[in-house]
Amino acid sequence: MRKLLLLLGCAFLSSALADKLPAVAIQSGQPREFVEYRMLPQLVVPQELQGYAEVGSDGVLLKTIQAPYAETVEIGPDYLKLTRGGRSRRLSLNKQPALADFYRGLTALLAGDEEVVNELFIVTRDDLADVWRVRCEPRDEQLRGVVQKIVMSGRQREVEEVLTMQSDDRWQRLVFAPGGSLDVEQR
Amino acid sequence: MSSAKRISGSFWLVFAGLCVGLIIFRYEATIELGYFLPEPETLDEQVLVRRLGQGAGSQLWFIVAPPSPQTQAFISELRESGLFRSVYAGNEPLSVSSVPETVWRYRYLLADADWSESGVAEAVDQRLADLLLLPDQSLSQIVFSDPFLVVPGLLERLVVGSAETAWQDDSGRKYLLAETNAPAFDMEAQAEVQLFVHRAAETKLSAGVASFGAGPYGLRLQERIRNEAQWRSLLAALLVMLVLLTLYRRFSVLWLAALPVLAGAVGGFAALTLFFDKVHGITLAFGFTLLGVAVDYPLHVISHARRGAGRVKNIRSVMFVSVASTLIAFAALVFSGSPGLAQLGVFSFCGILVALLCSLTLLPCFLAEEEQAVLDQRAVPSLLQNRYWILLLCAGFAVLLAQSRPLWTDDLSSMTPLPEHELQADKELRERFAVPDMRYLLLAEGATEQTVLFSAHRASEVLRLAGFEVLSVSDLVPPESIQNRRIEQVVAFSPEWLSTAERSSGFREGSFDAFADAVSVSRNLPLLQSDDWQGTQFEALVNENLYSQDGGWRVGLLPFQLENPQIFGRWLRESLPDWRLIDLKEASASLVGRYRNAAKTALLFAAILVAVLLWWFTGSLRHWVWLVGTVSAAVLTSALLSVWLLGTLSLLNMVALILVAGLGLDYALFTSCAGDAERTADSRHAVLASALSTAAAFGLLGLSSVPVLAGIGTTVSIGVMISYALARFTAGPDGA
Repeated sequence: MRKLLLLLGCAFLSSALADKLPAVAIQSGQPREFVEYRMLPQLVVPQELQGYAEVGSDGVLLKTIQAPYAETVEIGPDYLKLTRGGRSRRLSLNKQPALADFYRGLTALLAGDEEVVNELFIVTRDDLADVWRVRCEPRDEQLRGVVQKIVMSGRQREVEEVLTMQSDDRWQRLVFAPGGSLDVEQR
Repeated sequence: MSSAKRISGSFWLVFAGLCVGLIIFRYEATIELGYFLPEPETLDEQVLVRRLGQGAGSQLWFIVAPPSPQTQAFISELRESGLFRSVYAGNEPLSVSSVPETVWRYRYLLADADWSESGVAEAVDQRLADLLLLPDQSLSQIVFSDPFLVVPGLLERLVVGSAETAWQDDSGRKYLLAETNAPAFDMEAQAEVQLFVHRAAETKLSAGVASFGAGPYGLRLQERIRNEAQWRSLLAALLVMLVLLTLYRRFSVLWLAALPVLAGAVGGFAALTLFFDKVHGITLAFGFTLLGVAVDYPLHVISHARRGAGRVKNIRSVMFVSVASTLIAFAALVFSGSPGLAQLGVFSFCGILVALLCSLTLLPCFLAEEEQAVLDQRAVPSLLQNRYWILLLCAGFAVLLAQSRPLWTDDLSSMTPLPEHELQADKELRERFAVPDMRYLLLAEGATEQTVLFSAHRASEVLRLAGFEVLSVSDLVPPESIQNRRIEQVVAFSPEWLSTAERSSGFREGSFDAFADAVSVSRNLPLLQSDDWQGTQFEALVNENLYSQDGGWRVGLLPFQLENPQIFGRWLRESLPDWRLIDLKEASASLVGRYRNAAKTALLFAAILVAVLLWWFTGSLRHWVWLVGTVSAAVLTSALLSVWLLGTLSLLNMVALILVAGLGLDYALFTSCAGDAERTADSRHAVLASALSTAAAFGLLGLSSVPVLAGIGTTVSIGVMISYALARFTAGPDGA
């Protein structure tokens, strides 16, 4: 009976807080280190990448990979700018609106932009003691073709990791180094 | 029925039958614009004439669809129709299925790649990073089949609109770019495309779509001309009938006047099928217009026959001179240097000759039994005493000398029947989709196909290194030496390198099997030839830019939006001296200018011949001066008034001015070769009927919404009114 009450309480808490992100993963202008595991069905084991991410004042997400190779990815509203091996490539996302929405949603989630997150995803939040989990599922069918769900989890006011489950058995797990998160209200 | 009447009637019946037979069995139509251009002399002009009406992009339809969730279904419907070579919608990622089959199959013969062991390893490594970055299934398919990504690179160079194009505007309207299988000039096929597009839009989008491009413009123009032709022809026919009925007061005049004109039209048409393999649509359209002069002949005959058919013989000599003068002018067109104008000349020459003979031989048979009319018997003034034409001629020359803007335009686009707003919309859409600039072309010549292809290959590399974007046929048909080199590299590739690269990058073994299979296929492919692109979306690009001419070969490169052609031209001369920048607009101006000068020379000779003929006929300096002066004044004044009303004159206005000269001379001859009072009154009657009916018909044409038709109508109607006024009303009651 106690378990049932606890579950009911969690469900109530989940729906009540569904429109609120508990923390901001990356503060504007403050780079945050991460380790990212990226997996493709064609890979034997996940690739482990190390680097740091930051969000500029213009809302552009910048991910810098330092190992095992050097790469910088600038994610803008409708483009990706990739710098690798000293050469830059700018990829327009105009032709791929679903992909553009995926990056827009991911950037918004990391930067704590609730409005955009709610526009693109159905957001549910589970809280258990000081541990929380925000689950984002695409509203749009085309976006579901790119990403199945994004799960951001953390403890108290700290974003610890972001798991992105993509279509075709791909996934990415972004694990942040401790410290550097911010309460949404403090932005 | 008298025997003469029977013989004449039978002859014309047999003649009409023969002509119709010739038309039925020999008539073959064409609408190639090149027919109306002279033999090109310079290289630039040759390229221009070849490309006219069928350049790259002429089969493109720009379709603007309203916002709708069903846009994708609409696009799919267009793609599956079989009417289009390609339909681009902009919002689709590149996928294996969207790549043209020939490009996919020959990809490793079409572009360079680093086939060394380290090159393969690097490519696989790079693609791993790409795949990890972009969660895109279409990209995965491409990457595992083409780790060098040669196909995306190749398509970026070849496909219009693949750059940063806005495929949707702020109001949510979608822009589609579709290329039809049918050429732009195949109006029947283009009409089928239009019908399909509009039906698909109604079904899928529940709304209409807007379409632009050579095909839709042609259809809209055809529709507009058809609509206008229907009511304008009806109105013109009613007006002409009203004029004739008012002046002749009997219904029989209608078919009697029409008979020689119809015989002339059939005779002229049959002559065309006899002398030419194909007959141009414009020849027929303008030919029937020019044949309007022939309506004068039956009117002269009918007017003079009112006092008895026997009186017709009195005007034969004047009619012969009038017709001979007109025939000389149309003969000049035959030698003006373009097949189209030559056809126009032959049609009008033969048509007028037939109309004259029909008027003189057939009409009197029907007129013999007509009752004599009660006629005006007033004294006839001597027209030769009027001097108003001198004033008009002097004033005309004064205006001509004071004129600061050019009288003639050599711009070929001035002959386009499209309204200004459609031309502007077309220009904006071409810029939006970065369609190659149709104005400029880079050209090189060589002895063989391979020589020019190698030259194009090298030039493309140099231009791209210098930062210029070009559409190059050598990207589609690489020179054989380059293809052989690429095949050698593919053959040297070891599958073991791929396995090693997979392992070192962390891929499961066999991930790139699709690539390994493609490599095996590429090793055994025959070399890619230009014919391999027939029936594909790149057929026109290859055919237009790689061709043999005069025993040699030519190759063209299309530059994208040249910002400063002068500087680019200088750079080209220094960097690629074998190549030349062709400005098609400049070439067209030089071509039309030369053409106009040739036509002017031919017409000048014709004018001299006509003057000599008139001198021989009149035998009087005073009469001769009056005739030549009156016609010159009428032509000059109508040309200047046309410039004032239309802005400038084009080649088509020049043809209209020939018609004015022919009609003006006819009026002047008949009103001045008076003879007795009755004959003068009859002549004036005929000239009045002719001038009123011609001015009414061409005046209506002048109100057309099609600029070219309006221009011709304006020039002829003004010219006819001035000619008539000079020949008739400028004479005072006593001839002073």
